[in-house]
Amino acid sequence: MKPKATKAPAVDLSVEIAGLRFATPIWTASGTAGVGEEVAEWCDTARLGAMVTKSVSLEPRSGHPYPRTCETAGGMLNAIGLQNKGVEDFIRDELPRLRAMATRVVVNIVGHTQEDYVGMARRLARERGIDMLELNLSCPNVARGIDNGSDPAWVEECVGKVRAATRAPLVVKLTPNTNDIASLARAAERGGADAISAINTLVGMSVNYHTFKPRLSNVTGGLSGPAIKPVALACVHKIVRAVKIPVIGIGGIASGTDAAEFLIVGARAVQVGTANFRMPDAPIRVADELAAYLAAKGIGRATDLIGRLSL
Amino acid sequence: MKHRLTSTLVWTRRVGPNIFQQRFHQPTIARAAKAGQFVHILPADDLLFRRAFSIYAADPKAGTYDVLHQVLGVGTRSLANDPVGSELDTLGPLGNRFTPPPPGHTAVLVGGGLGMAPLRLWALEQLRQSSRRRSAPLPVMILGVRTKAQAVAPYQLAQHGLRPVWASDDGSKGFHGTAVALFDHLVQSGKLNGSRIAVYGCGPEPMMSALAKVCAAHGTFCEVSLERSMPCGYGVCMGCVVQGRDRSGYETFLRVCRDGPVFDASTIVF
Ligand SMILES: Cc1cc2nc3c(=O)[nH]c(=O)nc-3n(C[C@H](O)[C@H](O)[C@H](O)COP(=O)(O)OP(=O)(O)OC[C@H]3O[C@@H](n4cnc5c(N)ncnc54)[C@H](O)[C@@H]3O)c2cc1C
Ligand SMILES: Cc1cc2nc3c(=O)[nH]c(=O)nc-3n(C[C@H](O)[C@H](O)[C@H](O)COP(=O)(O)O)c2cc1C
Ligand code: FES
Repeated sequence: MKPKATKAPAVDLSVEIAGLRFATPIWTASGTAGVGEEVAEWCDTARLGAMVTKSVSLEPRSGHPYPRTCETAGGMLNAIGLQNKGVEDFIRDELPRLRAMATRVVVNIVGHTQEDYVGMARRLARERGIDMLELNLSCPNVARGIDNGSDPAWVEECVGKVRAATRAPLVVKLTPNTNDIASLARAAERGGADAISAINTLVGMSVNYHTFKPRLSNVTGGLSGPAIKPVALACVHKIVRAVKIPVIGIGGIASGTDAAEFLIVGARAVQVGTANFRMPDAPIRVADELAAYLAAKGIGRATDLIGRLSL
Repeated sequence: MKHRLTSTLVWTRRVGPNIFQQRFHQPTIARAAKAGQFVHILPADDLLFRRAFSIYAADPKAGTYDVLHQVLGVGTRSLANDPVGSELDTLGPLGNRFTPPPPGHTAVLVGGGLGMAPLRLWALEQLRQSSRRRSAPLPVMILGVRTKAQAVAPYQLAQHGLRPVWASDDGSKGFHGTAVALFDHLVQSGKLNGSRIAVYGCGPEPMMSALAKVCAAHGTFCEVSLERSMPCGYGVCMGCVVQGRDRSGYETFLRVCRDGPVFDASTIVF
């Protein structure tokens, strides 16, 4: 296959969320673009809607032992275990680089307790250059990651406390590992979220039938990639109908038409995750393809596609 | 800014049981390639991830580079079957490179199986060095295979005066035993001077672990090239990690794709 440079047609891709304008509705997804430095080597970050960082926690975390990933049909499993250097190192080493990028910066935060989230939000509120916080209430790879995040009462309380601790716009990232994602979204909205992002990965497992061992050191992991796109679309569809705040779609997006499907269902932006691993310039390609799609459809602005689902 | 590049397949040669050498035309990679680095090739459009291969040879003038690979699964099978002229989506060269030996030290290259792939390019770079500076000693190459049939000849080395020393598990080629056992034997018997050599290893992880231990015991500088399943290859997924240790002894996970694939063996917790 030949990598081709696509030229973006004159279409207005910009969108607004929580009073902020984003150059395109295409963001990177947490944990799939590092902290920006590596991505900047492969694409012009000014053309990204936003850069969402890998989850940052109060304390440094070493993550799970290798093997942490495996390929599955149409997707992958990962159990990275939120490896990161902690918020102080993040602020010192990584935030200055992110701040220097010509794109919006969304810092994704994760904690064990509600107090952790509050502590992170307070700490980051003192720093310049952060446009939004994304609360990861949904990591399947750490103890209690999903338990808390799939309990609406806990979600509402946690978001409420973080809301009280910072003026930064808040995006709440939800787990699909629940039987009622709409009620989680409502809980986040009641707590004061400015937007919802969905979905995080689905719990999955793979077994090596030669050795009888799980293929991941952590036994189970999070499923992502094209395989989860239908699940993600259904979740976004449910959430859009349940809340008034904007929804950011995530799950298996790898092309402009993948992104278009999410916008049609009602998402105001999308995040590109696993596709970044295959193509380091994936978000730019997705944006270019979305622009080409819109032009071909005679739609002048990305916002005019949002919620056009015909039922 | 780095770019995704198109590598065009020039030819494929079967050089051993299930082992193929493939030459690609891609001048940017051919010119930039350093021993130890790898290319990340997308073997087919319907595969989710790229596959990593060490750069086995590079000809900056012709604009070509070679990889040597063994067919293991869908990706390598697809590559081996690609017709001449196929255009493949490639990232590279990626990763770090081997560090030159301290002045006056002999480079000793210890490879196991296909682990010889990055070592061949390193041997050639060393040979070029020693022909430029007459005092620089010729490198020594020790290669281990399971059996004779897998002894793929690293062509071009002999014309520079370098003949690999072989070890085989079944004794069918050269020394009867592992490459690390042969290396240890050469040091113990005084044929190699432990304090005047720099060791470079690539091969299965148990072998790299054994090599690191032998080198630590002899107080010898040792770099190992490691292999991990690599979803991204450029440092963002955190999937390819190996347990490492920084200078203060603090243990942490290092990314093989970006912090490596070449590591000072003493920084790895095997
Ligand atoms: C830095 C580096 C350099 C390498 N250099 C060479 C080389 O010069 N020659 C060579 O033959 N092989 C090399 N390998 C190993 C090579 O990448 C794998 O053999 C190849 O990915 C197998 O792909 P597959 O589709 O045939 O196998 P499958 O088993 O179908 O692959 C499934 C998945 O597992 C991963 N995977 C499977 N086996 C390995 C493995 N041994 N190492 C890493 N990932 C694996 C694949 O990348 C893929 O994501 C290297 C690996 C790395 C990380
Ligand atoms: C390797 C990997 C690491 C991830 N790390 C995080 C993380 O640190 N925080 C988070 O909120 N989501 C994380 N995710 C989830 C993604 O952000 C995204 O929600 C999910 O992968 C679905 O999107 P995709 O199918 O486009 O990958 C991770 C996903 C992968 C594959
Ligand atoms: S392969 Fe993704 S970080 Fe190394």
